[in-house]
Amino acid sequence: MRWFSTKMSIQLGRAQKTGLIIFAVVALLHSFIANEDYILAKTSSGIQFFYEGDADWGVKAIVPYSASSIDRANRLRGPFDSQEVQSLYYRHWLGTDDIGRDVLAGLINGTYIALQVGFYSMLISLFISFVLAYLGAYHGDKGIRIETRMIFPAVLISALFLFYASYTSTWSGIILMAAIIMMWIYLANRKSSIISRTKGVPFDLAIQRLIDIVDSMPGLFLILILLTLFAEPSIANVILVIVFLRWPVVTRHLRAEILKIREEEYILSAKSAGQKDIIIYLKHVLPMAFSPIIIVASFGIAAAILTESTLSFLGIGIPLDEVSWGSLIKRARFNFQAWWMALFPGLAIYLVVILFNSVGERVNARMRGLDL
Amino acid sequence: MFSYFTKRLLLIIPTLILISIIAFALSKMTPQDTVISVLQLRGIDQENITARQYAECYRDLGYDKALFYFSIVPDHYPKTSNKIPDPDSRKLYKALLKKGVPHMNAENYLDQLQAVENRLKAKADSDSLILLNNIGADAERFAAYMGEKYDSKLENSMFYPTIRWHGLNNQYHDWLKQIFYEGFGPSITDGKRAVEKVGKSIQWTLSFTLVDLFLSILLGISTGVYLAYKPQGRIQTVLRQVLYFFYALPVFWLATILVVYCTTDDYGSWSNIFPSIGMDIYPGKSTLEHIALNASKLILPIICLTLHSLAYVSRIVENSLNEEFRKDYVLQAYSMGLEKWEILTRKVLRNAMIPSITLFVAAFAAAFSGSLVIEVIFNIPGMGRLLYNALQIADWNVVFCILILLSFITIVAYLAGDLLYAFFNPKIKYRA
Repeated sequence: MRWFSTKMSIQLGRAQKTGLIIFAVVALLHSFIANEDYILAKTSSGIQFFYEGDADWGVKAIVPYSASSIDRANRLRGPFDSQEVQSLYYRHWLGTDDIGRDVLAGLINGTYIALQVGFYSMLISLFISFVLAYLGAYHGDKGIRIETRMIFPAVLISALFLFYASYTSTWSGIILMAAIIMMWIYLANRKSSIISRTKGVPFDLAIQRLIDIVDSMPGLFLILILLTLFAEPSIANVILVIVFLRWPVVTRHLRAEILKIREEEYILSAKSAGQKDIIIYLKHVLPMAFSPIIIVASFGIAAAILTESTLSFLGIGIPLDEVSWGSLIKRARFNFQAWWMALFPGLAIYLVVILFNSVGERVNARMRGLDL
Repeated sequence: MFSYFTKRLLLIIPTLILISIIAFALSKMTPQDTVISVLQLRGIDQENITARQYAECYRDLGYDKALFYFSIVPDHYPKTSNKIPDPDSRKLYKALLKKGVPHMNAENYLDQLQAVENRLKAKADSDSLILLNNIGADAERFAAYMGEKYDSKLENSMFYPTIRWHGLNNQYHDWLKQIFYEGFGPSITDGKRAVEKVGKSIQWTLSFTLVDLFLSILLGISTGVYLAYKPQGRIQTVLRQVLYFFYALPVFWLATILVVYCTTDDYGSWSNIFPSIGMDIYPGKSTLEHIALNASKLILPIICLTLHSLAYVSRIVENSLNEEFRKDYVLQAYSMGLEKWEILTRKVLRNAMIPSITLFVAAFAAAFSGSLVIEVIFNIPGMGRLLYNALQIADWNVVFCILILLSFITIVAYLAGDLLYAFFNPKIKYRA
């Protein structure tokens, strides 16, 4: 494997760069682009942001509707139908849905939801897999060692900690928990005066088994079960559930990459120079896995956005009053004549999925090209 | 290799046990009250359920038993904290235990509370009725009202873990027994065994997913081979674009669009190609007969699924063939004077297809779970929709039947995939 700098490894095409920038700008500035209120208004009480109501003068958004604002006069009007609006500025350029909400404003709000779901779910699963890959793949089954005679105390102390953590509500329990943690730290740091036998903690094996178990359960079904079980609908829950299904994939890819990297000679030289494992991992191993991480992340973002839109299409997970791409298509199912309600959000999903897939593919092709 | 697969086979058992424990834990976290739904199934309205009926049903279902074979609890806990049938009192009881009140004291306290409740009922004036309502709604607030009766000195200041054995007389064991002897227990909608319902749905699901699997593998491999064999050309470019389009297209969107345009007269009768969605029901006929009679309505869902999976399969086949063609032995074969077609059929195809075996096996396992969105859109009573509907009405026996069954199928299929992989690829050596 050749040394390639991170700069070289993600050179995106112009179309991809523009696509990513448009996606990010629309998503992050969604409330400036589509808003029924004044963004900036001069009123009798001074200049105000996001002002609702009449003003002397003010700046309005490009799209004068919020995702949830209802225009009762125009229900189920297509982009080419006649609409009862004050001026061209107030026209619903992509039509309205069956209760009179602007489709374009809904699309813009959906972009923000897609961005949240895609990036947060990917960030969290990447973090989880960084930690797990450090414990499992980097150290292997024999890297993290524990003295044989310390196994029993360590297990006992961990069990005690879990016990008091789950049952404690009184002060004495908390003090006891603190004592247990202190003992733990003491045990972990003590240098043994006599030479004793050590045994590797099989983190790698355990993580592999865990991945197998999560993998053997049917994915979308598990999402549905968890979402109905645990809580009120919210975007955070959708993100967490997607993470629950995504971390095995990310961890598996990262593991394969790190198994290759940790055999490199510069890792050995860093080790022999006495560098700490965690520093080696952060400074030398992870940066080398940058391209594979970008690949996994971009495919993962595409998959997460697809999952989210599928879920909101089914009416699960995302709160009912949030307008997302999937929920717009869901309404189209019951309004056959409203083609605009199905077409535009579908196009949005399609374009974003293609965008992130092509980013992943490009980095992949580049990495392989440099790799050969 | 034999020992490797014996080990893998044996590993299925602990994995299944773990999955069953996870499923059981999930089923215990469900917010709905199963006792009420069981009573409703027996024909009693939710409003008319008396405390005695509730308690009897609670004991019938075995919910007064401990959850697992053993429990590790603080020493002031009772053997099981599920003894009390009334949900509000049980909640209060558990809250008191968690606060550190020894279980004898907590039980005494609950008795006193019951006495107060009875006195209030006997009084029956407006103030006491309001108080009674409060007990039901918020037992803990009532406990605060009862302040002077509750002595906080009774709380344990220190507790130690104790292990309590419950033997086979526990809920998890009963649940396992229910799985084996009663087919996961009754569904709360109609009282039929969950396994029977799942068996029916699985036939519907397989009726279209297996066709999809067959078509997509057949067409996907041939398209992929064609694209790799003759990479250049206008047709190939167009084909690639079209395939990529279907690959990135969300299935549910494609299905919605097809349903909107192709099953109604809204956009002109010329576009009304396919029969309208929703399956016809013929009373007194079996599931298989139903499938056969509704075959024409399964065409559109099969098209939707196949367009997507075909694109996926052909991409993978094309990529792995291209990868293979770049290797040195192909160059050597060229230099020996072999034609590209000969190299493809004799050498490359076999090598390129071996990694795809696992993929196809995974697809086969996924065929059993069906496609939720397709089933919801086209109203096919398959696995996905069964689960979807069961979740909406909290029919947990059916839900966990599906979950465990599909997990089992997936595990076995992956094992079979590895076996096939080793069978076709002599280079593979599994070490136990």
